Amino acid sequence: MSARFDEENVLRMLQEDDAMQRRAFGMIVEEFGKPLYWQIRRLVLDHDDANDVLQETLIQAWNNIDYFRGESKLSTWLYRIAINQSLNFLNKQKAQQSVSMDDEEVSVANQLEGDPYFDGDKAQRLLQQALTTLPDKQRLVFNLRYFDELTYTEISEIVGSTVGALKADYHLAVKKISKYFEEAD
Amino acid sequence: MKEEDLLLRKVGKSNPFTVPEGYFEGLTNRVMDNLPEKPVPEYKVKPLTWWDKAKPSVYLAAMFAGAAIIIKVLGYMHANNPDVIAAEEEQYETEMVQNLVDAMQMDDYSLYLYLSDAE
Repeated sequence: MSARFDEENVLRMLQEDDAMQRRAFGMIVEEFGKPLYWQIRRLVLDHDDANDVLQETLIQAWNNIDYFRGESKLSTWLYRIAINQSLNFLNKQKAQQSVSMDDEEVSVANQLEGDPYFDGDKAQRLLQQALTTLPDKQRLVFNLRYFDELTYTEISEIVGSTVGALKADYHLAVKKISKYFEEAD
Repeated sequence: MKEEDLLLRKVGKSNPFTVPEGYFEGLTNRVMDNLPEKPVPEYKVKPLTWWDKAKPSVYLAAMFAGAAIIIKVLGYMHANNPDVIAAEEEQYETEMVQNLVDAMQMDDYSLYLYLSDAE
């Protein structure tokens, strides 16, 4: 969080009139828009899809801002909405495409190959393919731990599982990804 | 974890995804422009009918009437209770005998003899 973002002050502004609420929400978007985008992008992969899901996330946050009681951090609350929106998007996508697991890996490989907004090398492309073979929750835990370097306690607040379950999820994810790399070599 | 170290060596943690130029710079404005207005709840004012005006008084009167009925019923039940009647009768009889004894100015022994003869 940047030094200029004062969560307490923003929460106070959210209790004021509509104009002040809007101003406060603008500050929230300014502060959390980018990290939320990357959370979403790492799950949905495509930039346009990530942009759509981010818009939906922020609109949902705005519509429910009156119900935010400060029981958790603002970032935790926003991440939860973003993750739910992302997982809903992926489920809808899977239902529409009706592809098998193998086809999904090939589909991801082709998608990334032709994606102007993917700058990764072969190993990074392979990692993304490996991640699509994981259950959504394991993939999510891997992203939050490996890329965002969140503690298990922080991940637990976002995802809702126990620290023990999260450690197990991460451990299994890493093992599966390593095996995927071995088989690809 | 050994596997994690291997992964770090092969892939690293750099972000392979990119965004169109200027995407984040204009993000806040784009989001705020598309933010919906919060719906304002519509409060429809209903005109008052005579029943709306009379309702409080009617409810109050019904409440007092109900309380009066309950008190009456309870009182009647108390009065017609055989145990209550028997207790009241016994008390009345005791008082009557006591009054008679006082009037006759009999002592206890004489009273005892009188009652023994009566049996």
